[in-house]
Amino acid sequence: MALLDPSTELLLQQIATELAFVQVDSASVRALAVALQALKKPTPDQLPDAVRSLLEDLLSWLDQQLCGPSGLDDGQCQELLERYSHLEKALYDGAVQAISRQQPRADDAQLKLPAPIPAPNSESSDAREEASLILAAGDDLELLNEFCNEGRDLLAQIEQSLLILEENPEHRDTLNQVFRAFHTFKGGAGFLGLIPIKDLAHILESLLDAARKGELAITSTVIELILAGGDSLRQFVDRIEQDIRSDFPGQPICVPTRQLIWRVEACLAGQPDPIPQVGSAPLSGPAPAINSSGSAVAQPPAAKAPRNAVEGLPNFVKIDTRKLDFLVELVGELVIAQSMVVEHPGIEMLKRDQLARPLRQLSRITSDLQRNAMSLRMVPIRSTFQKMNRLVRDLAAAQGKQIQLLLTGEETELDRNIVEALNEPLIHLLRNAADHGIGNAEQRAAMGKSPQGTIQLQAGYQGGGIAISIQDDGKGIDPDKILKRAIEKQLVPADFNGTRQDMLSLIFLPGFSTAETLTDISGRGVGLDAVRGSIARLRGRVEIVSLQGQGTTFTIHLPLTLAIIDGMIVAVGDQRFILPTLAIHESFRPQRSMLSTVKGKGQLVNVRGRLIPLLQLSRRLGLSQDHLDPCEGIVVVIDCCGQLLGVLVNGLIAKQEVVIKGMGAAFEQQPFFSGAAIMGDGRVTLILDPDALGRADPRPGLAAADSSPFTA
Amino acid sequence: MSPVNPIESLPVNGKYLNFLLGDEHYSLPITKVREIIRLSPITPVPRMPSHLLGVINLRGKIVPVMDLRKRLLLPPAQQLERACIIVIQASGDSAPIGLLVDLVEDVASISVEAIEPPPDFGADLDDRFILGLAKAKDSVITILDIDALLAEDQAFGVGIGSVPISAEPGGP
Repeated sequence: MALLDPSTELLLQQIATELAFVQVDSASVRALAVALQALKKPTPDQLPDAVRSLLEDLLSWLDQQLCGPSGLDDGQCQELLERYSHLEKALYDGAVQAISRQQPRADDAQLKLPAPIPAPNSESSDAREEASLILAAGDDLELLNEFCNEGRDLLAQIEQSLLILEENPEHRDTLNQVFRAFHTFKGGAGFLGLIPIKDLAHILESLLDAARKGELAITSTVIELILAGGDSLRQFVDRIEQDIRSDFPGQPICVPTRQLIWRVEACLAGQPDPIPQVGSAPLSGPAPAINSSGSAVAQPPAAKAPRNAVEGLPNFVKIDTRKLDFLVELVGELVIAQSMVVEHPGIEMLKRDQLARPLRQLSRITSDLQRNAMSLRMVPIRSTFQKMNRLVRDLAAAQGKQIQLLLTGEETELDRNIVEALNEPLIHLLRNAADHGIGNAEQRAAMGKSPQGTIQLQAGYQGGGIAISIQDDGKGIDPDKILKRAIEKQLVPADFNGTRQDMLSLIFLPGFSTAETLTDISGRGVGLDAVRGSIARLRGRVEIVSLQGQGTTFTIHLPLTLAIIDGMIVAVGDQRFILPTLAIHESFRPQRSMLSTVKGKGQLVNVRGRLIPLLQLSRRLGLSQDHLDPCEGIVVVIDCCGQLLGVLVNGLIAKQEVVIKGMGAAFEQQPFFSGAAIMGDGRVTLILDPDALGRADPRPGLAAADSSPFTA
Repeated sequence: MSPVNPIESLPVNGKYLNFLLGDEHYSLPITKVREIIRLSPITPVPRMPSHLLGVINLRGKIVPVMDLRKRLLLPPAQQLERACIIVIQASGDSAPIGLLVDLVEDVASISVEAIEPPPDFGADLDDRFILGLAKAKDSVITILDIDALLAEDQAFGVGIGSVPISAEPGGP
């Protein structure tokens, strides 16, 4: 793992790759020799003597081998592999000792004999007991932690590559990549003495090795086995991580692997799978795997490029996120301080040419700094999207459906906190689409659609934020059924008057979904209020568009970052508040003819035929008991719990980006504000939470006249 | 748990920050005080108990401000020219909060012997937030139990029912 310096690690991977081809290609033998030489060169004084002599031996031996155009013969290959395994072992041992002595340059490394690696075709497998793993108290927690972190990355990479392989079993680069990942994993586990993990990784590696040599076709069974193996490895990693963080480390960790190893061995021996998976129906799901599985070896390599480009990735530094947050916070303060200086009346008076230029410079650098600091927290949404691949595949398999997931815009970057918080809502929406949106092949055929359903997951920049859409080509949702349900549940009055779009949006209302809706009205709406809630917490919103018979699209609109919002500063009475621009649909000064009242109290505004409840913000906030004449104010139409709400304010002041701050413990439970911002003049302005404005009042009696507009 | 006499938790010969609310002398242990700032513009937070005046910008941090007079149910101040905000931090990493007072007097040492437990005022006076009384040259100083005061505010979820809620707009 991180024992060896990166260049050595890279060389070892290259050597592992070349070793696999020495029997078929003489070029590989030459490449191997070059790589081994390189191993010797850049770090002459760091190599322990034992490694050095083994390396010299191997090189001189390799020099003497005669090799034909098709590479080495069986015997030579055998010997080469054995010599190399000694060398590799010595290299790791040397590194361990160097670390344990904290003296990387020590040159009296001892050579340990390599531990016998269990042969892949060992007959004793049936008798093998389920091995359990106990972390000794002396184990280096740092190294174990490092192993877990890196292992997780490797496993994610393996999973991605496998999904590519499933579509395109001939893709050599991807195959090699999976092989190398398992190899690295095995190396780390072996070094830390995690024997059960090493054994499992080893047998999976052997399976891939066989595939690389063309001895084994990559069938869906093979993919299944490797995925299952990856899952077991992940369980190991999870349990180790739990153990090293727990108060009582040293608990035995046991993950069943025996059966899996047995199945892999059977597969390697060319026998049929001894334990066919009950849920093997999935394998008929992703069609491409089947198409090519029978004649996999004979097919020429497909021209299709792998979806994930491994090359050209920039280098990264891992940083404690708290340091990052602190930096971003400081930069935020700098921006405020800068605008306080630039806009200070004293400076304004002084403004001459000499001063104007440095001030402009200061402003420019500050905003550059801010943009850069913000970008530090931005990560591409790729990793979250790629997890969805597996989810949809598993869902489709479990339900015997054929679903393909198309990803676009994976490179879109947003705040890492948002990316993490997006996981749950996306899983929810995809599950919905796969469970209820897309029917099985027969249902689809009945609607004249291709048997394979498609879900498109798309991300992209839109306005000042980003939009993520989940689009299925399923049967769509009937708005009338949604409305019927909402009336039954008394979420809306029976005389609900809205467009079909409004009716669809009722799906997001809290309390809409219950357990029984699972089997009812196309099953949609299961916990969609939860999705809406988590998106709202990120200061975003969700929209739904559905065409019956054509499919449903959920679109999530999100800000780019949680630290800054684009806000509209509004005047209410003699105070100012900020409304997040993302929540605002439009604003206008109403005409008298657009207004109407219900039951003498609730005001409505008619916007192009849609009746929208009107909220007197100043009354709602308890600032004044008087009604503001709507025709003298401005109506800001906002998205509030998925419904439109007209908020009446005295006027709009400005649109501005502000840095969001918490309001302190004393105001944690206040109902209306999501935070506060410090404005250019140093004053604090509160940020309104759009959802809270429509919510029923937590303290009835204060504003009984203006409680929730939806229950009027 | 047996009730511990709160006075015993006070430091022996501790330093105290004395301040005025009207013509009454109050005090709190200096260890709780983070800094004292001049009255700066307070942004009111609507629909909060009236003693929570709002928030201020303390060098880029947002700090809530409590009107100590209103919290102790004293009549409002006549003049605020010398008013100060005492920023306190009740314990180690808790969030700071500002207390609006009429006038900050001085920092003085009060030995623990000079502090007496509050006499029983009966039903006439709410003595929940009083740690003790200390006699000075010509006056009596009330030492406030600031932890109890803040804890109650938190426990009641910003004072529902325990304190009157402001119905009129605006802050001070």
